[in-house]
Amino acid sequence: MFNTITIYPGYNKANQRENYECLTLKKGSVYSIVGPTGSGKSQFFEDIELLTDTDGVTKRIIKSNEGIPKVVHLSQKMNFMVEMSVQEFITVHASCLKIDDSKSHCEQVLKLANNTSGEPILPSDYLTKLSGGQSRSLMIANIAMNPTSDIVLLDEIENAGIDRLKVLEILLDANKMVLIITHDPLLALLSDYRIVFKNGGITHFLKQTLEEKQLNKQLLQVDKKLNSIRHSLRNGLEIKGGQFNEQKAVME
Amino acid sequence: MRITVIGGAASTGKTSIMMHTLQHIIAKGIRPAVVKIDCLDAGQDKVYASLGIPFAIGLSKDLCPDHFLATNFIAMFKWAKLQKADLLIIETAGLCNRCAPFIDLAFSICSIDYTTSIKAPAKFGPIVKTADLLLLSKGDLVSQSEREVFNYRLKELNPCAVLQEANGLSGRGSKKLADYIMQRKDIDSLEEAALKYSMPSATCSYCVGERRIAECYHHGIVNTMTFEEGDYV
Repeated sequence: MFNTITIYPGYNKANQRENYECLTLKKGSVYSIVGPTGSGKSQFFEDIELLTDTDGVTKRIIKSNEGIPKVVHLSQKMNFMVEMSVQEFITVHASCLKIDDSKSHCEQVLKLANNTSGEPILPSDYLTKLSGGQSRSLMIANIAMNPTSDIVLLDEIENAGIDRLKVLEILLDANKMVLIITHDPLLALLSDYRIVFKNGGITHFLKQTLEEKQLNKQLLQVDKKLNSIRHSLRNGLEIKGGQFNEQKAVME
Repeated sequence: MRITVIGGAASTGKTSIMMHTLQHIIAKGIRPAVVKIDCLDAGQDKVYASLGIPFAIGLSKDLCPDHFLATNFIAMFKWAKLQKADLLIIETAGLCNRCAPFIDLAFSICSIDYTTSIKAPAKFGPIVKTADLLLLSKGDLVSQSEREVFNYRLKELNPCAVLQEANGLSGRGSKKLADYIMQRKDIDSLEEAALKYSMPSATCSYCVGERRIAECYHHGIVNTMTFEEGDYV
């Protein structure tokens, strides 16, 4: 049965070999991928997606412990191409995934995709007419509700109109291996491990510390506060000084 | 000598992916030869030649490229043997989706691009149905769920084929493709080979250069559409 993938070192942009023997990633864990833009995070996802065997630009070798895991991927460049309504497409997709109750599947996907304050995606909307944020939201919801996947690769879910914590919860309940590229400290600290990139290569592989876990609880509060301010701004409200001070207090 | 035919619409990434694949094959000490079949001169002959391997280009010009291919398989095979090649790769554009450019003795690869919409597989027909391997490119541009539907539909059309994703820019997937190509057995001659799918009976006046479209110029085997009264609603 598929349980782990093992990564053997490749080369960074300066053609230096990455400095680790091998890294093993497990099912049921969350790995956050952090590093400056252009540091090779998305390349890493493409390596995992095709289980490269030195045949990518990084020359990494990626092996699964057994069989070929089913990898699902949300990159930053993906688009919906097909001219179909949301409901029609989710129904077709459900039949390909052998999900019997496509009606309730469709409802669940839309509920998840719509569970933040974005303007709702309607079943009758056309995929190609959705906004950028809505499309990403729906793509993530489709991935989260896919029962057939083993490995989930998510590239920056913070810029979609979706509740990223809810998505993580669903994926972990389903015991997937989850990798998230993120610039969001909250998401980075929610994961069990961090993989750090620089200049095209992996530089650190870190386990989350207890101290970080504590900090994360505080960050969750800050996040709530930021969300409420975001909500106010979106609704044309003025932000009062008190709100800001309250937020500052939490950070301290 | 092994033989592989790769066909598929223009710009799906056939040449880019084969360039990566051939480098893996050459690294194993295998000597490949490549023939590219095209209708018009695409000026791409230098791409393969840059690998320093025997390379030839076949231009079908006024003929249907699939017919042209069928009548030249054996000549290409003999040419590659003369070049002392261990592997012959024939790259051809599958054009109208009516035919498949494959023969039973060659490894058959159909190159498809994910951006052609999930409604497309049903339109591809014989080239998908008779391929041994479906080579999928540009998957990084379409949503995960559309790729899943696309793959499912391809599997419905051809349950036996291997689905292999590849990226012509980075080369990802090219090593696995090279392995599939090398798994095939050597063959001595193509004299016993047959097309996997029959070619159309293209024997009308337009096959021989007629351009006027009036009915009196329709000669040979023609098939005209008939419209009933009701069709004009």
